[in-house]
Amino acid sequence: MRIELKKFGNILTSRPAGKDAWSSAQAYILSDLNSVENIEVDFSGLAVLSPSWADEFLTPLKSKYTDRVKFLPSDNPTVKATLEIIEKQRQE
Amino acid sequence: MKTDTSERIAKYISDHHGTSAGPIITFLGHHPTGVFRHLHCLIVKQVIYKSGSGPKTIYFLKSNNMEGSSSNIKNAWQWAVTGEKVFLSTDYFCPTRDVFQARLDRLLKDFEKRLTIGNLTYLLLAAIGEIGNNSFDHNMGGWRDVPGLYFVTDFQTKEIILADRGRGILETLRRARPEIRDDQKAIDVALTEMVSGRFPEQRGNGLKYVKKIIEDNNLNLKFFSGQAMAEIKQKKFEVLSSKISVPGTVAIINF
Repeated sequence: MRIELKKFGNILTSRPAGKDAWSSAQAYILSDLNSVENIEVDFSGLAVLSPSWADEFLTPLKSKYTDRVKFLPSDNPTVKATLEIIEKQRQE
Repeated sequence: MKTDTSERIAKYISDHHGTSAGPIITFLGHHPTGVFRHLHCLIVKQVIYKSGSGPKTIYFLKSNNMEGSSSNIKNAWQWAVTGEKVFLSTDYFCPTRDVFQARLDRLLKDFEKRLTIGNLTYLLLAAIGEIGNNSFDHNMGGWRDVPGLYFVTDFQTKEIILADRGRGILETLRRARPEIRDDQKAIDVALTEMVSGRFPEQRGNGLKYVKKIIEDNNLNLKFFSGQAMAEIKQKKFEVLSSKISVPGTVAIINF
């Protein structure tokens, strides 16, 4: 399964929006996931991603589905910086 | 003679980055009535402004910290410091997060039209998004007076200001870190450690992200709260005391 983040908006920066997106994804996207299927997170087409939004969406996604979640490569500098900082937070 | 005294008062206020009337009276050795008359004249001439009331009134030079800034940026600063509604502009004030988000969307288009700075546009937007959303995340139900965020981008001076009249950093972080006792320590922790005022929620990485973007891209940031200011200039980070007290927070980014 592939989750395209651009479908949640172009500028993803706020916590409430991230939380809302996570609730929506659980109800309408992840409910179709079978028990062995992997999840690819696609950042293409996104202008801005910040840690606040990511922390409310990507952190619980990763916590729930662990190794089944793959972040697809992205050249977007805000995506790179955000993934770096939430990974650092996870390790701490 | 009158002019000389006024000039000396303005210079004294400038040199001390703001002061109450007492030290000015001592410095000049004049009768308080005369000094207050000069202060009043300087306010009318818009050379200085005052913050607070009664014995806690502090006088500031209008150009302090804002030399070269546009009037919109100055208004945002003065509103943040004084809370005077006369400085509020509905063109730039975001009373809710939705308005801020809409203005952020519009700013992306403005940046793409005016700037050829590539990836920096998106990083700047991310930093602005984090700072602006922080104002709403941490001040819901706790604004000092007017709820919302003053958000101005000036493409002429290449300056962005985000100002609120919320709890401020010290008050926000005290909930999670009661040992923090002063504004300088609070602002340092907010920008360098993984900690959030919304304890026990696990968050608190936003301002670290902002700091990294500013440093990695050689931008300048001044971040005020209480009587402290953090500055990132040419990748050098330092926290200083500020004689101008900002009750909430003010962030000024130069790009």
